[in-house]
Amino acid sequence: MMQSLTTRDRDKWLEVIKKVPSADCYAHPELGKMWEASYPYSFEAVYAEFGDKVIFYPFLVRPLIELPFGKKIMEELGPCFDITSPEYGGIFHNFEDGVPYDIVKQFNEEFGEFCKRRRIVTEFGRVQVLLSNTNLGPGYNVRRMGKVVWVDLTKTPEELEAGMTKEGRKKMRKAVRDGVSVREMGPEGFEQFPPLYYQTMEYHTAAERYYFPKSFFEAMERMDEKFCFILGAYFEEKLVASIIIIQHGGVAYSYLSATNRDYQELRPNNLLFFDMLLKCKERGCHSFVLGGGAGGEDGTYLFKLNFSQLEKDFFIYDRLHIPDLYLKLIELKTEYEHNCSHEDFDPQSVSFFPIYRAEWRPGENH
Amino acid sequence: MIVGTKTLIRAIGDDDLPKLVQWRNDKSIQQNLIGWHFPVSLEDEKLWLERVRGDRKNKRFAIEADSGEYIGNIGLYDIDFINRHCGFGIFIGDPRYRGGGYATDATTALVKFAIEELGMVRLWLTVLATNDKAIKLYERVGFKLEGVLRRQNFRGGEYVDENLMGLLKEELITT
Ligand SMILES: CC(C)(COP(=O)(O)OP(=O)(O)OC[C@H]1O[C@@H](n2cnc3c(N)ncnc32)[C@H](O)[C@@H]1OP(=O)(O)O)[C@@H](O)C(=O)NCCC(=O)NCCS
Repeated sequence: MMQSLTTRDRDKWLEVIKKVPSADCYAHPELGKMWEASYPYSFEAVYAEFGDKVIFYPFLVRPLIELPFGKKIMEELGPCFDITSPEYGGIFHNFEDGVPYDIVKQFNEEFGEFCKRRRIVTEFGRVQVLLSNTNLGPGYNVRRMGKVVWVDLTKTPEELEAGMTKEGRKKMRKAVRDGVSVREMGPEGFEQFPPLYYQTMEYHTAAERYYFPKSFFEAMERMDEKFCFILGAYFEEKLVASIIIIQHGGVAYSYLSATNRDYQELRPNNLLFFDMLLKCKERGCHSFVLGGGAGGEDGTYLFKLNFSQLEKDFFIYDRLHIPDLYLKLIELKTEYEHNCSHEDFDPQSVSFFPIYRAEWRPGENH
Repeated sequence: MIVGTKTLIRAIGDDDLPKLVQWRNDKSIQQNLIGWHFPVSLEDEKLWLERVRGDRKNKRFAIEADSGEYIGNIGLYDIDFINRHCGFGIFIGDPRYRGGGYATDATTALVKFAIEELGMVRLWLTVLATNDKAIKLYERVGFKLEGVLRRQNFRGGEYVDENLMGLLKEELITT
């Protein structure tokens, strides 16, 4: 029987994931603080137990009223929701040889009922990359979306350094010679980070969804220091680059990073990233997920390959729970885009899922 | 770029056009394709390429053999992201590369791409019922006959049936 949890059931939630060694920060209720403080989202989970075996699925529920045509949705369809994974997610479990198919199928069916009851129209997520659990059962579309880089932290610091590219090592040593040093920042880090981050985003003309509000960072400041911490690279006591790391269950992730453009020629990032790996190793992590590029194997991706050549396929999944509502939402989206004079908006040609959340950029060749 | 084991699927470039014009005017290829075909010039092909580059629903690509040569075209048509299906088509223009498994390799790679990366759950195509080579190729990668459009085409003085074939995502044969 499937059970459901919200972050208010923190104790029970912790008790359940304790049984699942692979459950990392993306399965941890602490993560909910970040999202629930600044967005109208709720971080929830469902799970089922079979003796000492557990199947556990965490996710974010988003109300569709947040869409630009959200009022219209409320008027015409009433409250609707959808699901996404915070960053990575999918199913975590402790079955040695994968979850038996009949259990996946039953869990999947019960979750389908859950979503219908809650008026959750669609579900989208990114599969936790080290587990790569794509066995989600009927109704799910799983697609490969490129690759990510990860680091094996069971290696010694010397091996980690030797595993870097020559180029990466050179830049790192140069930064040290030039006087850059890295240290862990206290709570003040989360106040100093946002201005640097917004500057970085502006420079990269990042999409709107990466512009996290200030309250997002304030929430991080309130999070358990064991779970979320921040490092700074300093030059003459000035913060030149910074990175936020989240970590649990032996796996660490670089969550957000920012560089001061005025000090870019110091190339503090090679040193910052390497020290970050060492810090996470000290904290007992066995793996570090550096992630992928912003758009395939671009500069960001190549930068990450400097630290490790271990790559994993990265999968996304989606599922349609309420087809009638989905089609109506696409109609409302089409109407909205045409009202914005995007006359060429054609939902059939939008590859983004769910279509009603697609950012329509006229003329762009998908 | 989509990589098979002996072929590579890439965008069609301006440099490919002279070969393409030759194939478009080659009766032995065109007689197997569905629809009407008029002779084309390099100028026509340039305009055609401009048009298809901006097309969101129809994606056409060049097939490059492991030798580096441009050997034919492959494409996905009427891509429908709501219902998640699309059409498929291929031709190997260079006769030296027919019967060597290049078509099979490229087809497998592109169908796999459509399923795994575009999220398609079904691919479909139509083929002249007399085109044994093509039908065999499609069956080899997992397409199944779904229906026959009787006397749909007029070819060489007679009416020829057209087969509708489809492949569901779990039916792709990759070996
Ligand atoms: C239809 C068409 C694409 C088929 O191409 P092809 O080159 O015959 O296809 P392949 O080489 O992949 O496979 C065909 C043969 O090669 C053989 N072959 C040799 N090496 C092979 C390998 N490594 N792997 C697979 N097959 C191999 C196969 O056994 C097969 O032989 P068979 O037909 O006697 O069974 C090609 O004939 C063509 O372009 N025709 C004109 C355009 C056309 O008709 N397009 C389809 C319109 S719907």
